Amino acid sequence: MHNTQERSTFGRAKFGGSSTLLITISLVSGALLALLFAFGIYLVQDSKLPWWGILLAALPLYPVTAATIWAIFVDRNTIKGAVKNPENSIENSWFSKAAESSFCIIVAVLGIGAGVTAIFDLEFQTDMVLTAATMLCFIVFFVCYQFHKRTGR
Amino acid sequence: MQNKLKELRAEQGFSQQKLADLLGVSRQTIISIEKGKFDPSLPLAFDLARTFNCSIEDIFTPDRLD
Repeated sequence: MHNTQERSTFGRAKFGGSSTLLITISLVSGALLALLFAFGIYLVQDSKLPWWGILLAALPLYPVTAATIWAIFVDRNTIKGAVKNPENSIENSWFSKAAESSFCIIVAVLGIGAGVTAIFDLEFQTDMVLTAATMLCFIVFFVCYQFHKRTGR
Repeated sequence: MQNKLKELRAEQGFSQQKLADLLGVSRQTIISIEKGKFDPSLPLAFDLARTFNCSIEDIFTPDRLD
């Protein structure tokens, strides 16, 4: 267990070491993981991409993989500002309420969208529809969270 | 739910941040409880009672007592 004085913005790893070590591990492992995923995309695409396309595909994946590695290895007790019992904090309540609200809104929006596309016989690319649905989930959840945070309801 | 948290905290000389640190929650949680905007979970209510060495009923009063 670490005390408050030892806390830092990015914290330290569960297995010990400095904050710099954790950041280095996250960045290097994240880069390797992003390249691995990008190589997988390259293979699935049946080598339609040029070799440097692997690097290009790895770029947008890199922040996600690096952050994931950091989240897996960080000891949250060493992060500045992290509370001991987040499940009892009001932020957890806002999160739960936002999840409930956004679920209802997303079901309604997607249901209406499905109805409209069926009635008017509209056709879209599956990848674009799924990307739009994912973006919708993020945006609706963000708005709901802010609503509950600001209104206290 | 009404509560006497602000008064109890003042009696003990705790700041909102100090109480939040003792309970392991965010300062915003204490602010919201004091304003009556947030009803704490049962474990948090027990922790509050333990911190102030009193019962939960000494801190919280339901809006409607039947």
